Amino acid sequence: MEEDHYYREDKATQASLQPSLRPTNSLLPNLSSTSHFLILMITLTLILLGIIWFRLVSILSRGPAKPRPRPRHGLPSPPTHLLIILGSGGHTAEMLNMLSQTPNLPDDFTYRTYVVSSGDAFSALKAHEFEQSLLANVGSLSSIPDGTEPNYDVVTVHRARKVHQSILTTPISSLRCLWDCIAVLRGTHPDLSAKKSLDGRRRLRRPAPDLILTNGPGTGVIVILASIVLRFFGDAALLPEQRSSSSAQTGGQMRSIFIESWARVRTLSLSGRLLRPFVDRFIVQWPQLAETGASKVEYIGPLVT
Amino acid sequence: MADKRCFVTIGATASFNGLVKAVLEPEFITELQRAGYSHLRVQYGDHEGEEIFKAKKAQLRETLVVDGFNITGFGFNKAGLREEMVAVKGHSIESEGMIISHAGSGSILDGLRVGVPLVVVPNTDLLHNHQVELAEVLAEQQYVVYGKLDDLPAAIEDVEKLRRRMRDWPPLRSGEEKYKHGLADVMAEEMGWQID
Repeated sequence: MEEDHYYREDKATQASLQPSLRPTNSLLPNLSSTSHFLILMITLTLILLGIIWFRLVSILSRGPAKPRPRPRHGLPSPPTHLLIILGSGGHTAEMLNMLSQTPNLPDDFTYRTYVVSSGDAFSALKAHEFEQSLLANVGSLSSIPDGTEPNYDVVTVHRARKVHQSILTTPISSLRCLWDCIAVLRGTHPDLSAKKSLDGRRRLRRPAPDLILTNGPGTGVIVILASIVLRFFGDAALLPEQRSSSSAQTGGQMRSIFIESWARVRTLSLSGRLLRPFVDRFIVQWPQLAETGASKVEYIGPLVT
Repeated sequence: MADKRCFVTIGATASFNGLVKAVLEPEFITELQRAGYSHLRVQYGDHEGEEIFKAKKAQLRETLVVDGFNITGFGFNKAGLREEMVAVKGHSIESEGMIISHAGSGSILDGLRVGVPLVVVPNTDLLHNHQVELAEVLAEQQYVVYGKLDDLPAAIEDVEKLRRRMRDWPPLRSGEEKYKHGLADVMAEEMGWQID
């Protein structure tokens, strides 16, 4: 009974409101077409931003790596690709020092890419020297077959920002650097050595790296940004042969490790602060830095020796 | 007499004329001689550093008895400074000298690796110098002596104290940590491999 009563009352109110509503209704067609367009654009932008946000959150919050067997020396296994960013004196020396303590690096990572920025011939030279030292170690076991293709490349990308470069031209040079880094990750950069297909006729593109290591040079920020861009667009950004390659199922995931410089004791570097939300692991070399309580920051003992 | 060396490096990236001047002050040289040093060798960097080095050295000849005390220098060495540092180490504890270095992490690590007492002098001319933090924490943990530009002679005595209780770099891993192989284990984890 009561419901009925309310219903009736509702109807009554509606009826009484009806005349006053009419003018409002007739107002709608009067809205100019530009404001319609504006409302449409704002709605679309919001939807688009929402989609971008969800996509970003989903690619940035991936869990730990899926378990897979570690490649063993002499046993056939899918190729593994490590990308190392070198830069400006101190960073390069620290990175190569840490890598030199990694046992079985050439077995674990069958292919290595070193990224240096233009004008940094020192880092490029150091990368070649480091690879030669790896070869010397392997050579002593006399296990490297003759005629094998070089299993590393040193790639030069445009410098994101030169020291004292004007703040106005920095976005342009950074974009050029980003363009180069995307080419490196997609395997299309001209500095990458071509891998021949089995029949020897086609040039195969390098698969995207499984793992990216950076310890703070500016180029590293751009490479990680490039990897986020590629992961954002997913498979669509990769070349067909990268998609179909065997490593695409388990590897080519571009997981990333940032290692803060040994020289950083109490404050994070600018690169570190920029990259912390975007890398999978964030390692510092002094306990003081891990004690600040910032998320993701790990201290696992000093890494340079 | 054993050749006891003091090797000074300002690094390869920026000039540090304050340090070149400070190690060529008469008070500093006198203190070095008193501590049994026979050789001061300075890596002074660019052209300006060289000018200062030469002028200061000429002045010293007039004011001090520098017979039997060698002062030598050079700008840069592309091959690195390891050999210079090993020369400081000498052949016995009596001939072991010291290294005075700017606070760049590369030079500090080189010095720590050779295992010679190291004085680290931060360049106060550089703005926002995080290198000061590194020098402080290493001095606190008794790996190095923190050298101040305005009182460098005091560092010579501190070095003799440090020599007796110097710690080796790198510190030993406790063996109970999750990542026994350091970075290699984190890399393995990110690849989805089992850590041995």
